[in-house]
Amino acid sequence: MPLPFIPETITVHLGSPKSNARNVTVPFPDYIKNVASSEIYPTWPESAIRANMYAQISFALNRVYTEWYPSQGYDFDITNVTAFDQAYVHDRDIFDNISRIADELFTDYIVRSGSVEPLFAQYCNGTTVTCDGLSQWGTVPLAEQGLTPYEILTRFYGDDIEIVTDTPVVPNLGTYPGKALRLGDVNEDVRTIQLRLNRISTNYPLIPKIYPVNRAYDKSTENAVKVFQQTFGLTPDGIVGKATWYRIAYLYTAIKRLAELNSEGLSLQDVSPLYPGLLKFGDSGEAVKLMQYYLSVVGAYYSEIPVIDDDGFFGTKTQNAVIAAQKLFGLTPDGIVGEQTWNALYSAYLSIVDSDPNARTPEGIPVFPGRILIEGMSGDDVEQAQTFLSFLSSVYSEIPQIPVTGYFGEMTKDAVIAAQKLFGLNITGTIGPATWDILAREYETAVMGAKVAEQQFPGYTLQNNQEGM
Amino acid sequence: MSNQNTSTGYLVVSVSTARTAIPLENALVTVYSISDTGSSELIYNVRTNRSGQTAPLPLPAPPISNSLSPNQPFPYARYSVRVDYDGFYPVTSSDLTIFPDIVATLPVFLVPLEEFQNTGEPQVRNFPNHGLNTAKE
Repeated sequence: MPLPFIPETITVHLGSPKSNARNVTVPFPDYIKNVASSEIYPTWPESAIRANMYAQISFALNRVYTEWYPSQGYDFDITNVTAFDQAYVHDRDIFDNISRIADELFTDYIVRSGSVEPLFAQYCNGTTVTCDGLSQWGTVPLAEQGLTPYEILTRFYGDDIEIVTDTPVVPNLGTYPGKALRLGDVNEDVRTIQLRLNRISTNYPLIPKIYPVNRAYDKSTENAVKVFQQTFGLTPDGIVGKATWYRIAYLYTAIKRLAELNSEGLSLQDVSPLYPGLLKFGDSGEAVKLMQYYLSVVGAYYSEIPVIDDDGFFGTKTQNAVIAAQKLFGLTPDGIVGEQTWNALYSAYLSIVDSDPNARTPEGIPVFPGRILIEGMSGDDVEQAQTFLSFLSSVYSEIPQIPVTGYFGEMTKDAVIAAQKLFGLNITGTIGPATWDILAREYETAVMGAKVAEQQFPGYTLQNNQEGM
Repeated sequence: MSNQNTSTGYLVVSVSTARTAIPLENALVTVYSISDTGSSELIYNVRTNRSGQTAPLPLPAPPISNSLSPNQPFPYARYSVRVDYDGFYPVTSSDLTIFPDIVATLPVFLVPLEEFQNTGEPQVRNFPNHGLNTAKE
């Protein structure tokens, strides 16, 4: 079996395993914050909170690592019934101190010495229920006596335990670089943070823009980090440690996903939304892709619907998402998209698209034009690619600045090669779907990140003769 | 009972749509106390800022000793919250658990109304009693 990892999200069944309850899919740190807020009291000494949280994290990771429920044919990772698993109250209030600790601890878990499996860390309240494991109330006097979280855990689980730390989060989030980023640092990771914070600040304009985006962790960067931290319940120290890194990653991923769905929507806006006939497991094609697209948009608003790829193939993941949507709409959850399901899905999609509250959803970025662009070609698609490259060269000094002419000459080819090197693509000097896709995404992040809202601090001081933003 | 609540806890309500991707400014947030008789009293009527958040709202809470040993009655105070925003389903959440000197943040994720609707039935979230609260109130 491979090594344990931290799942980016976890799917929780809101009832006992056999019950026909809904599932919700939530970010793993948010799951832990919820469990801790539901299982223990936030007024307890910090050492007791941490000890309990290690047990809660290990328990959940054990379920994920052993595939306990999926191996029995269920479509979830864990339940919220304490007789089977641990308490989880969907969308409840979360305590700020527990939130801060969870943001730090969620990549750490307990193991038996010599084993890789996350400990199946059983626990109980220790008063009305006793068990062979951690006593929740029992941790309080131990913490008051000054025991560390690890020492508290050994009292209940034995001496032969260890705590594994800084486990990678999989699949999409990237891994914390291992060293905190702070004022004075100059490197790639700083630029990543600058780009992501700028993109986040387009949706959260109280966070000031960082300008310039130049890999240098300056005052402008530190300021943006502090405001981000204040907004999202992190210690506002202006340093990007593990907790801040992952919180930025999660929020950036959510915002980016919405932007990408928006782009996809623009490319699909001429496609008829009429019911295309029955769609079921095993089918493939444009109609499946359209259905997946509607599901994805609705899923961005409802945690009941797990994330799927709009790849045009009706596989298990798509079927689970269809079942989740049917439960949400009160339809028979058979995983088959008949006319009723299609119409309910399309209707939910429409209500979301029409809701655009402040017209702040980003403009679409053009999709791959359908021909590979090579030196010697001309056209609007070449001009668009040059626009991407030209803007990106203002952010990435590795990419040379080029004029936007619509003709793919040698300068453009050099810029393409530089971009492919930078983003880890095959270095061909031509623009196929993969290169276009990366250029479009990076461009969207950078250009949307540069958009300054009314009253948002743009990151630089306006000169006397400059036009206001 | 409200005469137990001699300390103060804090509540922040954080309102967004698309589950944190889009914060909602000027959402109307109403906070109610919940009494044992089931009656509720309006305590706050506030709006969210540009990040979709209210300021931390002070709320009466029991003394901290009520939650530091088992079998104490009233370890926390209970409140409910309603959020309204034009074009979205309203949401009511109860019971929230407020502890002394602790800030609790309630994340409220709104979903849009159907295209033909102007108002909709509030989506109701009922949170159960805390599992550790085994004392009879």
